[in-house]
Amino acid sequence: MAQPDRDTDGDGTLDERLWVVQDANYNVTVLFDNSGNVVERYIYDPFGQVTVLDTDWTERSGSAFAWVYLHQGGRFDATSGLYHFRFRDYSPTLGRWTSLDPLRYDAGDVNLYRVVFNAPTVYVDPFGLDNDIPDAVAVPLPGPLLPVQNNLLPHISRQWQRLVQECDLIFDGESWQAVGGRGLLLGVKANVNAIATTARSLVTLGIWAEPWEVWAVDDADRPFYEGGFLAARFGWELLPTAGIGKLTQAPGQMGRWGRYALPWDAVQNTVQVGRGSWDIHQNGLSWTNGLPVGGLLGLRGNYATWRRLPAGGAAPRTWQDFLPEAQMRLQATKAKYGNVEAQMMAMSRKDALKRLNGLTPKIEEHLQKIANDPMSRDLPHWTREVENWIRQMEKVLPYIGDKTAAEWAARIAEWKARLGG
Amino acid sequence: MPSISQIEQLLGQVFDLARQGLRETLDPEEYERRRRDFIFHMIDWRDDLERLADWFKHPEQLEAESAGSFLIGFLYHVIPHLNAAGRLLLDEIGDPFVQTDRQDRV
Repeated sequence: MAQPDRDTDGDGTLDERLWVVQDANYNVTVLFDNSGNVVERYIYDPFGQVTVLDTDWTERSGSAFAWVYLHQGGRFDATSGLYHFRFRDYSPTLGRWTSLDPLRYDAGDVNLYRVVFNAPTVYVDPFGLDNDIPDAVAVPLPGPLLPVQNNLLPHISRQWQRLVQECDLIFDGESWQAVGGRGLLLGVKANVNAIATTARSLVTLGIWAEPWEVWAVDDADRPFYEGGFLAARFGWELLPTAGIGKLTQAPGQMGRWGRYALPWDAVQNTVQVGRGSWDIHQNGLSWTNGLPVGGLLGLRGNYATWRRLPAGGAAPRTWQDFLPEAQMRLQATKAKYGNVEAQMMAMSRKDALKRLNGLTPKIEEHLQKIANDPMSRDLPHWTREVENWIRQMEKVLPYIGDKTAAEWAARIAEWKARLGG
Repeated sequence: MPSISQIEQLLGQVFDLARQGLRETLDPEEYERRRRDFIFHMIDWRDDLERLADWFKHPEQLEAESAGSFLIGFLYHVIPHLNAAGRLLLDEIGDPFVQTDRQDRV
């Protein structure tokens, strides 16, 4: 996270860029300058009351950098003393929201003003809607599907939760959603859960078919899969969960599994002890089994795996084997789309500002021409030129930062008004 | 130095010579509109031309930053005018450098 360049002394030069460090709950803890030097520190009480410190840990009365993104990344308004979190404002002094939860009881808490079950060191709520666990990988759905995401899926998840609480052995379902390059992807995972309620723990042995794993493979990448085209993937996983009592006391927590595409092990007190899959390839069957070496230490994603190779017993391929194919693909992409690098290169803020500054004299000149000779035969040409340049400017506004873009948008609005007049 | 009206007159004659066939087939009013547009598209950027010529004569007068801003405005302004003038006088003019530019950057 970085603050866009700002003009600290009002001389028209953007002379400062700041970088921040956030802790696991997205609290901003340190500001850095462009050279990596700490310039300001922040400490918080559990409910977000901030204390600003200088580099030597001496207290400051306020931020020397007008920094406003603090507790859980919320935007702090010093005048009202409230944090803004998209749907609601939050008071760190009261330790509660200042308005009712827009989701009402669907958020899973009977107290509609309570913030994340009064446990802000465990949960976050970046939208002011529902509690989330901070290390989860959340994929929000596109706007038109938000009602499904916010209402239907949490409802389904709560029904499953009720079953989990009432039964000793059940089938559990997990819905998967993700927004990929080719649209909305949905999958279903069926797990068999053995629940020992007396031990207040949950053991999940899941056998699943996961269309997502197959669909997520881009067509262009399929030749790189050992054994060719990946047609289907079935898998297993073993997930003991400690502290099921904690889960059942926080009903909103299970609701979120339906709201977002989350693996089981995103739940903080769940440890994945094994996972494997059978892949049906173009050239046969292969399987992979894995033990998460780092899982018990909280380092997810580090697996020790053993594999059965695809039919034919081909040796694992190295990067040299892939190189000719990669070169061919690169050439094909270039032939199809032209200069790939240029297309992928994002316009820098500086370049965008240069374009705006380069076009401004032209717009002013032509508006002056229009004002000087409003009956000119060339008026339509000049108007079209100015309109075109304004369109060009509006295209680069997204690259210059919100504040600067707002200033340019105001300027553009003024030009449009002059043009319209 | 010739006046603007002299240049406009000359450009009109150029258009007439190059577009004799068009004059015979088009409605006179439409022909006159195109002729006038051609002259406009060749004239409207004369200030840019003078500034460019000055800069080329005295490159030390502009620093790189100012020259960059000037050139951005120049290209955004002049290229559409020349494209339009080219279409009016010569119909379509192909761009031989599009592919070369791409290859150069890859």
